[in-house]
Formats: sequence, C-alpha cells, structure tokens
Amino acid sequence: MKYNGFYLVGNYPDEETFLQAATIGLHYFDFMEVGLPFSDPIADGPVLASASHKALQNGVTTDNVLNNIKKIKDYIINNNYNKKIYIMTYANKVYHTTIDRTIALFADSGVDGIILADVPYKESARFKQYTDIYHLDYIHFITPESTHTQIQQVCADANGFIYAISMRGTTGNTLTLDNTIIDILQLTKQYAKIPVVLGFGIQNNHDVQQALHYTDGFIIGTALEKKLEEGLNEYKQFINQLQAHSG
Amino acid sequence: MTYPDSNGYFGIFGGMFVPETLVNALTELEEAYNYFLHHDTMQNQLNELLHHYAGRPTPLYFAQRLSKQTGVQLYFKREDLLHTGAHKLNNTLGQGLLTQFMGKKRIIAETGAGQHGVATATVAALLGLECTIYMGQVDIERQMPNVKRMKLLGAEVIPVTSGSQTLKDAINEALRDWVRNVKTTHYLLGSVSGPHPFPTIVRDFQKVIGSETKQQFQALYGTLPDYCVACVGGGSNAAGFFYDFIGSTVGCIGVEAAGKGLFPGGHCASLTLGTPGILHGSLSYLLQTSDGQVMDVYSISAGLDYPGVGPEHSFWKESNAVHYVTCTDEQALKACITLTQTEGIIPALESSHALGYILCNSQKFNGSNVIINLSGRGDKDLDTILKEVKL
Repeated sequence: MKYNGFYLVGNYPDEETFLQAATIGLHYFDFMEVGLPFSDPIADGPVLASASHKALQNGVTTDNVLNNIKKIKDYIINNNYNKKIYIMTYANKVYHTTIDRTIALFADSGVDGIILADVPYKESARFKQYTDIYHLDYIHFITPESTHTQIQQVCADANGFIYAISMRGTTGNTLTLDNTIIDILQLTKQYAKIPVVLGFGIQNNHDVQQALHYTDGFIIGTALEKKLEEGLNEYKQFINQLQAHSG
Repeated sequence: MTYPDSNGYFGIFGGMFVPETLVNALTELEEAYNYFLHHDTMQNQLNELLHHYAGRPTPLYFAQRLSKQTGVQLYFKREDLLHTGAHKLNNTLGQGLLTQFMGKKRIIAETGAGQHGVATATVAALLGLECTIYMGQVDIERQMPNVKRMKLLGAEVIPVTSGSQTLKDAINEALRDWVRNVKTTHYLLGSVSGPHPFPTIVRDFQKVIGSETKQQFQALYGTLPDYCVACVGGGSNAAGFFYDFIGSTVGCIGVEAAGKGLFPGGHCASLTLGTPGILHGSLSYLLQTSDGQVMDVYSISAGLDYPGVGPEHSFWKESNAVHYVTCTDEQALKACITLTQTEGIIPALESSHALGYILCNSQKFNGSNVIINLSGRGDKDLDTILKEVKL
C-alpha cells in the first residue's frame, strides 16, 4: 500500500502559485499536507519556519487557506482522484476559538485529517474527540524516541496513516536512518494496520528509496518548498524526477 | 488538592504540548526530579550551594525613607543580592544538579533580560557543563553587559534573529535545539512556563523566596504581611514568592508590564488582556490575534517582554488566589529612579514594575505592610535607564 505525500505551506508564496503547485503535486502524490502557518513553529527548520513567517506577513489566515483547500478538493473530485488533504499545524491554531469550531470548519472545507506538530499522543484526546465526531483522521507520530509500548499504543489507535519522524530534529535536516530508527520502523510496520509514512529529511531520490525500503511512503516538504521558491518549473521538474524513483 | 495533577495540569491550564520526540525526555526529567526531591544527599548539596555559594538567605529590608514618603510600610525581599544579581540562580542551581544526576553533559537555555542566561552560564562553569544560551537579537542589544558576562563564563551565546527577536523566539530556538540533542542535553528552562514538569520544577526551586520571607517577617512581627507584590513576565519570581502565601490572609499582587499602554502591540499583560491559548508547551493565558497567532508584544524590560505566562498564574487568576494588575514603562522607570535615590538601591526594570504599581496606588495601601520582591538588580539596565534620565 504505497502512500506518498507532499507538504506545502498554505497560500505560499502566493495563492495562485500555491494552487498550481497543489494540482501539479496531486498528479503524482497520494496525499497532500497543507501547512496552516503559525507564528511560532517550533517543529520546523529554517526553510519552513521562514516560509510560514512570510506567509503570515502576506496576510495568510485560516479562512483564506481553507477557501483554497475547498478549490483543491473540487479539483480532486472533478478529476476522480482518490487523494487526501491533511492540515498540518500547531495546537493553538485549532484550540483558540474552540476545538469543536475549528475542526468543524476544517471538515466543511473538505479536509480529510489533521496533523498537530506540538501535540504528542498523551495530549491528543481532546483533539481526537472532535476529529472523530467530524469523521476526520487524527494522525499520530512515531519518533526515534518511541518505546515498544508507545508504538503498540499508537498503532492500535491510529487512523489515516502513521507519521514516522525519521530523526531527532526539525524539518529540513539531512536524513540518516540509524539502527534505532530502522528497528522502530520495522516494529511499527509489524503492528500497523494502516500505512506507515516517513517524514523529516527527505530531500532526494536516495532518501526516497531509503524511505520506501522500510515504510509504505514518504512525505517531502522542505526540499519541495525550496524548489517552489525557485519557480513552478523547477518545482515540476523536481517532482518529475522524484516520481521516477518513487514507484 | 495539590497542583499540578498527575497529567501536569493546574485546573485547565498546563499540560505537555511539545513534539512527540520530547515526551520521553520530559517524563525522564519528572522522574529524576521526584527522586531528587526525596534524596537527602542531593537536597543537602543544593542547600549548601544556596547558602555558601549563592548567599541565601537574602535579607528582608524595611525601606524607612520610602515608607515615610509614601505612607506604605514598604519591605523589600532582596533577591537582587543573590549571587549573579537576581533570583534566577535559585532555579539554575537546582536544575544544574538535576542535569548532573541525569548524566547529561550539556545545558541549553533561553534568556530575555540575560539574568537567566547568566545564572545558567554560572552554574555550567561551577559544575563543568557545556552551555549554550539562546537570546533574541533585540535583547542582546539592550542587555549587552549580561551577554558579555555569559561569554566570560564560557557559554556560547547564539543570537536569534527570527520573529520578534526577543524571549519568545529564543525559547523557539532552544526547543528546536532540544529536539535535536535530547539524548545529551538538558533544557534548563528559566521560568514557570513551558511543558510539564517545568512549571512545577521552577516554582519549587523558587519557592524558597516566599518561605524565607514568611519566616523573616514572622520572626520580626509574629504575624503575616498584608500584601506581597511581584512583577510577572513568565512569572518565576512571582510564583516562588507567592506560593507559601496562597490561601492565607496575605494579598498577593502580580504586576504585568503595560509598556506604552494597553493597546495591541504596546504591552505584554497576558493575564490582564490575554485569552487561553497554547504556546511553548503549555495551555495558559496568551496574547493572541483573532486568527490564533501569537501577538507581538512590548515592554521596556526584556525580562517581561513575553506574550505568554506560566500556567499556574493562569490558574491563580481564575481561582482569584492572586490579583493581577499592570504598570507602564514610565511608571516603572519612575519607581526605579525613586528607589535608587531614596534608598540607594538600583532595581532591575523588571522588579521596578512591582514597585511602580505600589507607588502609583500608595493611597490604597496606606498604612499596610507591603513586601515587594526585588527580583534583580538594575546594573544591566543602566543604558536604558540613563537614556530616559538626564543627569
């Protein structure tokens, strides 16, 4: 069950480019992660943190990102694609006006699930309560620090996919799969009933092959955002050559 | 009921909102801390250091001239006389020993005014630990003497140039460092903010301020004071000062920075004007926009220039255990100069906010016994103070 995803900061660098980049990506990938920018993105490295800050300076809000997600969802439906859209953001963006209201808005715009970078398993119940009500996936993490028991717990409760973080670090670092993380990935695969997807540090074809060797898919973000900052053509070419290696 | 509960919550506030990678390190820290609390040798070691190295107990000083001038019986708890010039060392000594106990060799910390950075660098030198301090570029410029002290003590000071380039952004970078180096590094957080168990650990290491004050005042008068007043940024000096007085007859007053005025971007009065939100690991009062973004905040005092506040303060606010008020830049500066010229004590601009509130409301406190926590000395602020005062 191959399950590859791509990440883009919502409405960045501008709405038009974001929408085009989304449709290009959706030709190739199985799901899309839309980053809903937050002022204090502690799980992000310099590239995505700076993209989020610039997006906020340009006036990006939850509402205008959700408007474009609706458009992307229409595009998916019109093309008969079986592809999903996840929102990746931070706890406060969902909490501040009440979790119920935010998740309802997400569901209304066609989002399939949420990923909260600063919400660990032990704090997830208050959010999952509402994603369950609105039939959205709530994505849990596996990290190089996860214990056997934690892996079993996450695999038992997970829906959508399991987000395996490849390293101790922020987004955009270099991928090095050491024995600890390989053992963790293998154990996760053993218990998981849904796709296990590797993220953080996927930058090139070699990383993609590494990821697919141990898991069901990969998520690429920082490397893609850098290409998009160079231009849509560079972005498209990069995805093309990545695709050749990610079957 | 004692707080926090077993999940790290003070009522609805607190919790552990961090990337999954940090959860086991926080659990390990909680276990190490619980062991440390009940370990006689380690407690003795900490008490020895607090006494012989840091200079505890610090004096409780009755300010005779200022009391006469204001009609308020004014006392100062002299944390400014603690080694390194502020209350921060109480916590860094404790957490430094904890770091050794956990077998970690490196500490990282955030700093706003530089007092926590200096206290961390000091403990790193004392205990032979590697030390990295994150500090916003704006704060580096306004607290240069402390930057030089940290470097002299052997710490690496990393300027943070993202976001507002103040304390909030320094915490972001420290958290990113911790995620990368969680196996070898302890994040020596300096305030009662952050994820569980930090708000509890820091409060506990700081509560010596209040328990000493209580004993000292009782030894003098056999009774409790009427009011205890402290400034609140993240809230560590206030939490440590108030803790032993909560639930007693003593009125606890926390003073937030009203900066240039209570308009968006002009202040950092999170408890006065914020709403519950999640930042830096905990759910607490937060200054945020209608779209859930953390607001830009401002104070003349780098140590108070923070959009959030420790979760226990939010709990104390909701349960009316502490009364939270504000003081502007101008009122704090005026108080700073008044104390300097009346009593020969130059207070930090942070602590000047606590005095500023009392001086502006002296009628209300006429005849009352008021103890102000003088959390730090003002040497680091001389450039800022001198800019405002023509000599």
